[in-house]
Amino acid sequence: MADVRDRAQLILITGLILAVSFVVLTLLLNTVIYTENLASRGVDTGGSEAIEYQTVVVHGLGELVDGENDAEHQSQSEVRERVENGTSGFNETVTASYLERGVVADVSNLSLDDGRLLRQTDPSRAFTNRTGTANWTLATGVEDTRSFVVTVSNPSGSTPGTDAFNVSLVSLGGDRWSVYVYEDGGALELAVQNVSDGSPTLDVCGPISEPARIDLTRGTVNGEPCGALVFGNGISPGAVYDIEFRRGDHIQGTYNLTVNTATAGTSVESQNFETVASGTSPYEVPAIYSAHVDVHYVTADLRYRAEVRIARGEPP
Amino acid sequence: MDRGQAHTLEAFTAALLLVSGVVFALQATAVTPLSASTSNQHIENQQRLVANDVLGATAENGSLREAVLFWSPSTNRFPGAGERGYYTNGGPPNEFGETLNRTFRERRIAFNVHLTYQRPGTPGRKTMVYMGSPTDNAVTATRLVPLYNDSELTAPGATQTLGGADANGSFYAPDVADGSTLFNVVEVEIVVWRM
Repeated sequence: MADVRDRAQLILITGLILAVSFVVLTLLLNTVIYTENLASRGVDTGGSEAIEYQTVVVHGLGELVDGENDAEHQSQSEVRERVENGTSGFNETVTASYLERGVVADVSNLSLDDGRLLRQTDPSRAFTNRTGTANWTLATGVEDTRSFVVTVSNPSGSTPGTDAFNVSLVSLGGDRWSVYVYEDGGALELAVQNVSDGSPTLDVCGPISEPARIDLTRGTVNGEPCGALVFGNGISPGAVYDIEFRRGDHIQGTYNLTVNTATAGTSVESQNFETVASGTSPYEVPAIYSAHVDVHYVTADLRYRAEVRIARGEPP
Repeated sequence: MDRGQAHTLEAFTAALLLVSGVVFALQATAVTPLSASTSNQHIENQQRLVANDVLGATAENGSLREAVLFWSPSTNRFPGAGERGYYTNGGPPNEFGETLNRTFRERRIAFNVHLTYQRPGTPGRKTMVYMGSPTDNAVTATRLVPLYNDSELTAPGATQTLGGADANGSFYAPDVADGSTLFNVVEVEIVVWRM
């Protein structure tokens, strides 16, 4: 009968072993899951916070620059001074709020590129120059343009290329990129002619309600992205161009654009514009085109430094 | 005969051991960080992300700035905030508040919203929403919102710009950058926890 007693012991021992191995397995699984959980959380030294700070700086100073440009100061030195004041004020306040969390966040080495803001603010005026000429040039030898927004209504002329208003960029080599605003059965429509196109592509990004806010540099129409609208599509990067309005008497509305005059050779055709003080459209205003700053973000674990360029509404 | 009973008993004991092993094993899993509990690390991570994203999204569509400017100069408090000067039932009655309510309150997640602004000396603090004292598992998210002199107050009936409101002292934060359009930089902090 010895074998029978052995079997009972065997069952007992098996039960014990099973129980122990279950417990061990559970603990092992628990450890694995916990380790994985810790590992997948990433080495958080605050890299994303540094990027967030940089975003705050780019947005904040971008708005500051645009705010000062919009305020239409009389002289270039006044805009510069106010942007510099604003930047140091911005830096002090933001630095103070980061210091509370034990972070040194700082903006330094501000440098500004001068520009001119060209604008028309009277929504019922045609897109003609100061003296009423319909075909005219806004600026020549331009390398950088940003925030080029036209808000238009009441187009006349239904054939782009022959009788409709257009904005054109013309490079030194003669490459031409045009956006036409024309009328088709009472509705406002948009046509785009890229450098390589033989004729304009009609009715892009429609239907468009009036007044149509066309952001040429960002490529949006009434706030909606418009794939066909790519600023200066086909003009080789780095090439300088002239900005022209053709048949400006076929449309009315407002426009704003900022050109970079810090680059050599860029000049605004001032004879086509009124001065700021006159208050009548179209006029040109001293402005800041872009700002460069060094961004520093220092914590106990992280040292982040970047040079950022701030120019809102540049073509992508 | 006796031995047979003893064997049966032994078998039962073994079975019991086995079963209690299994039960113990199942109980032990309760401590994993994946099991549901209010102290769950994953929930905290998730809430921190959601809070950050709410701030990011509202900053992007402008409703965060509108909420910071949602200030009634005549009563000198957030419109409709009552005696205490802050909202206790949910977000403020604007788009930012609706976003907070949709994202958190409807899921029974409580939140507080605090504003910190700079002023000469110590920073000032304003409570916009206070739904109670946060628990130990609360998470926070912050975002900086720059304000400019020409930003308009968004409270119903208020037409003033910040520059105008500051001139007669009717905005909670002061102008800290004279000689520029910058007005102040407000830090919005939301504290989020499960009720």
